[in-house]
Amino acid sequence: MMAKSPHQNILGKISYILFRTRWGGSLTVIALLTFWEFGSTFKLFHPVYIPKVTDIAQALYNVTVSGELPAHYTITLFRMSAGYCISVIIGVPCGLMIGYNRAVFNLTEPLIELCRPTPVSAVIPIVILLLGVGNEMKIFIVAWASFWPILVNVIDGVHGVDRTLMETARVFGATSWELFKKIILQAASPHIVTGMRVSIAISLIVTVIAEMLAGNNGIGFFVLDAERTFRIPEMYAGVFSLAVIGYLVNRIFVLLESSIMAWHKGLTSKEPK
Amino acid sequence: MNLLSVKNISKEFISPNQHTFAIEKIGFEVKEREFISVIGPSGCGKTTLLMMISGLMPPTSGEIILKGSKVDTPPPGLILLFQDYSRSLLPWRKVIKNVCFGLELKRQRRWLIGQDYKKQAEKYLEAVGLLKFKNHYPWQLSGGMQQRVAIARALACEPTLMLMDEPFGSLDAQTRAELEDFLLRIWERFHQTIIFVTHDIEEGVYLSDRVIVLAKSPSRIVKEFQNDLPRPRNQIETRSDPRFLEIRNEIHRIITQKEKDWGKENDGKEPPSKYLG
Repeated sequence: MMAKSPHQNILGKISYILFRTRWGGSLTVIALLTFWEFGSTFKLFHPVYIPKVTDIAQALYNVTVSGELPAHYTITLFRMSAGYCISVIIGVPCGLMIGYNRAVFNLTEPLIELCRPTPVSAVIPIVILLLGVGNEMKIFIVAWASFWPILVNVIDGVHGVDRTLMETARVFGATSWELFKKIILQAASPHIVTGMRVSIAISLIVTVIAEMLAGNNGIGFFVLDAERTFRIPEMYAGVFSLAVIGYLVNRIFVLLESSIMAWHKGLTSKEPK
Repeated sequence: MNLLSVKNISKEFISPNQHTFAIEKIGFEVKEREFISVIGPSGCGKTTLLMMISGLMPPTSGEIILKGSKVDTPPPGLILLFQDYSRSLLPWRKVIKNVCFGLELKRQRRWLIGQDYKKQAEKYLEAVGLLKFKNHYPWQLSGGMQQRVAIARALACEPTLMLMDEPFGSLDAQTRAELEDFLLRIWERFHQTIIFVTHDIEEGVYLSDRVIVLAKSPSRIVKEFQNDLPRPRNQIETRSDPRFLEIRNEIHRIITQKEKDWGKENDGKEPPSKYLG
């Protein structure tokens, strides 16, 4: 006799997969796409403005194979990663310094609080004026937008370092450099990674916006251009591909984070205080 | 010669709307290899006292002399063990690396030249009985085990003076009794000098050679006991020794009396405890 399991009948199994595993979420997406497909097919909504999913997939396949989409993506991802890397390279050390040194913090805090909430879209005209409409402008805008979340998170991280930890290190005779390297940098690292994750999503958004505003290449340009030239399925194809790219970028980051920050995950999941 | 002399130190905390006398003219001497307990009610500035002795906080007046030199920064050979072990262990390091922490620092590297500090760390992890947990993270261990890791980390630096700030305060009674005996064995084996701060009178008497009793607000020494209970101590025999009970009751009487006096002098107001503890 087999032991009794809660999922013996078929209904039980289905409800288990739907509500207890991660597959349920994928099914939601599939269900929505199916509804979309039939909605267009049966003219529930305008099939020209909202084409069938299969047509969008076909268009996505065509622009990918023809090399049009990959070419745009190469440029977009270059701009995005260049801007993002600049913001990390500048943002992390700046945040550490501002967080560590009270005087520097007091001097820069109002400036940060003014720049941070300024909508990046409002900054773009100034940058176009100063840097033109080429790569420099786009990379600068991306770096600018992703700089602030990194900076603020790193500062918070340094400020959040437990006093007992610092005092412990000092009792053991740690020099300021050792204190910084072995305690502050480590204890703040979860915040640093959080800032970097928030920023990478922002950098993709801002790259696309910058490409839509000026220039003649990149995925942002592609989507807008498809709309203007009435290549509607291609336009949707561009947006779909962005959804997938955005998802992948975030996913990769989360995987990296959980492998590097294993201690933090264990610590926080153990003590939900 | 005395290892440590605390000479008439006082500590005031001054902030715009409050002026608190935390400690008033405390002075005592500590001989090498002595085990001293400092007992006082909570909020009587015991932690402040240890912070000053360890050089983390300067006294407002008076001075502290350790091995002939004045303490103004954390001196070598002194380790302070915090009550809050979970916050003083580095959560990103495994147990063995936590014990290594002190040894990696420049100061200790000077005397560990040519020695493998991993070996040193393992030796003391062995001494606290946690060698088989060396690859765990501290937060995977129980409270008592975490405090033992913190003790091993302190011992690995081979301090001459260990300050302990209510190290067993947040542990359950049984673990606490175990760790008390464990500490006594460690002390007999490695011969450090220990200043053990606690609000638990029995714990203080059970462990020490000498008991210093503090009263609060401002904190000052009200009495010193030479504690001549026989060693080795035993949780059952020592604690039922008539002499043990005598000392314990006497300290209890002093502390409760002082609390009452304080109430009378200050119209029954609660003592200010904002900056103390």
